[in-house]
Amino acid sequence: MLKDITLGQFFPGNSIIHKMDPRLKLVITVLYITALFMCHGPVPYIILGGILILAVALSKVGFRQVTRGLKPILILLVITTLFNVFYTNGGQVIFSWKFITITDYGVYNAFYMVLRIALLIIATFTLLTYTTSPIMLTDALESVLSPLKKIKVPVHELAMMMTIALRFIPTLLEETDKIMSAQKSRGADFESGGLIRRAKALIPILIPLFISAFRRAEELATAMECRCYNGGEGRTKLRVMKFAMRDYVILFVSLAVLALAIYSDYTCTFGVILP
Amino acid sequence: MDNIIEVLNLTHTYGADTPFEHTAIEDMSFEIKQGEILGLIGHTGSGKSTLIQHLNGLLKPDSGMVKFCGRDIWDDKQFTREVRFSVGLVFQYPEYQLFEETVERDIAFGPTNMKLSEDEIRERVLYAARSVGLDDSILLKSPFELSGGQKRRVALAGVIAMKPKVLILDEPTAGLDPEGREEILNYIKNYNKETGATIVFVTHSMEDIARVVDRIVVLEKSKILMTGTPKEVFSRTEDLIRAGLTIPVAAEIAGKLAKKGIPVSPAIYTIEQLADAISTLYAGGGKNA
Repeated sequence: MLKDITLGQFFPGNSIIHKMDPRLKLVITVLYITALFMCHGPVPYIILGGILILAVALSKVGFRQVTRGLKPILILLVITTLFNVFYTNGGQVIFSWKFITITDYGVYNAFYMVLRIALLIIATFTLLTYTTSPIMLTDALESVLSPLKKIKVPVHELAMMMTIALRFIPTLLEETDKIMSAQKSRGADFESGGLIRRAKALIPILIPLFISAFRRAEELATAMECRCYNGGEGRTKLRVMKFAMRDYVILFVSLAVLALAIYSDYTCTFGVILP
Repeated sequence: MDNIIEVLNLTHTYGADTPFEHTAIEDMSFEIKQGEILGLIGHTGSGKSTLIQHLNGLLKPDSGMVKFCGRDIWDDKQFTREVRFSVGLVFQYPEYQLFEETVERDIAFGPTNMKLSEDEIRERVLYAARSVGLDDSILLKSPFELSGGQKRRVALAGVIAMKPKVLILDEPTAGLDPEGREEILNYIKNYNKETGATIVFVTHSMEDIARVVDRIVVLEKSKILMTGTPKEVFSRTEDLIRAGLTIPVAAEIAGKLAKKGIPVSPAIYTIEQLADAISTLYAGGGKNA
């Protein structure tokens, strides 16, 4: 049952999106999200949606996987819709009953907010987690944030912590599975009883799990020290990230598209102007 | 002897219909006899661990059947739960599954889940602890302050306390020193003798298994490669090596001597048998010269 969790799942592949420099993916994702929140009208969203569909197609991950990624945030989308529909003031009232009033502003706001969140999630999935291995991702993060070292932010250490955390997610899931099987063999029952009984039934899993996590952490720390690990200073990398010609092309194309989207947002007159 | 467990055409596939699909067990059939010590040997990834999790109903077969005392263990929910208690499974490195504040309470976890009376639980805890050579004084200690070997025995006692009719042990001697291995093997043998319980001993180490078991099932790549007594199995040295298994040193030496034309039986698999065979040879040779 725990094997079904697809936290930050990575689909190995050989597409152009997979081959992009991870730093570029990171930067473009941030720019894309910024553009999403700067735009309002339909035209910029057609442009932004269009380029994302192109990216998904190029990544060859498959649209099914991408929509599957939206499932966990369905509740968030529903709540966003409700809040925006009921709590936006101004505009024309299109429905009114007792204390509930729905305005056209509210409906527009709700629609665009949901669209924004959906596009944001799809963009981060296709560009980042689905097509970039966790190690590449943290490497990229470290590289992009490295200017912060000047103001004494421990960028390398933070990236290393992230790498280790990501690396141990599958290990700990496997361990949990094993401990659950072992306790089930001794007659532990996780599936029946009320809330309190079920919570109590978790103790035989959580305690061994914590103990083994601490043990692993200690072993890993020792192993790293034995190999003279001492942080970022003067450390070279196995995989050196390099901007290829392809990456420059992608960078300019995406900058152009994003600029076009934002520009169309300011000039477009048939779009609905919202606050 | 009656069959206590029967495995019929068992197949299990992990991650069906995904790119990670992997068949761990394929059309496997064999039986475990009441009261025997059965060795289950196979190279890493041969399907051992998946197989034993079917024997007490932790995993459900994709196809095929596991029968306990002649009845399909997935017949009804209540029976599956009963089988969990009747077929005790000790996982690899069981000491990592200890969680209670005291050794006594940890051993009592299984019997408590069986909803036995206080007195019965107390009696079983003492019995289980003694049967793996744990001193009564250890019972009130925290399991986390014990040595590795002691922790392993506490975990073993935790399963024995359920008094299972079949005790399955996955690599019970892994990571122990020779003395610890010897002790564990002896406790297992004694448990079998005292209670008449059936033991399934899972390992990839021939050395351990050779002296303890009555019968061996060898797995290779999710299938059964051969079944037989240690004598029968260890005389097929070449097949075993091809399956990626090491054979007992004694069997290896016997095999090499036989190849050189020295009349040593290829069915030898313990150091004692080898020593006997060689000394008889020497005694005989002395007379002839």
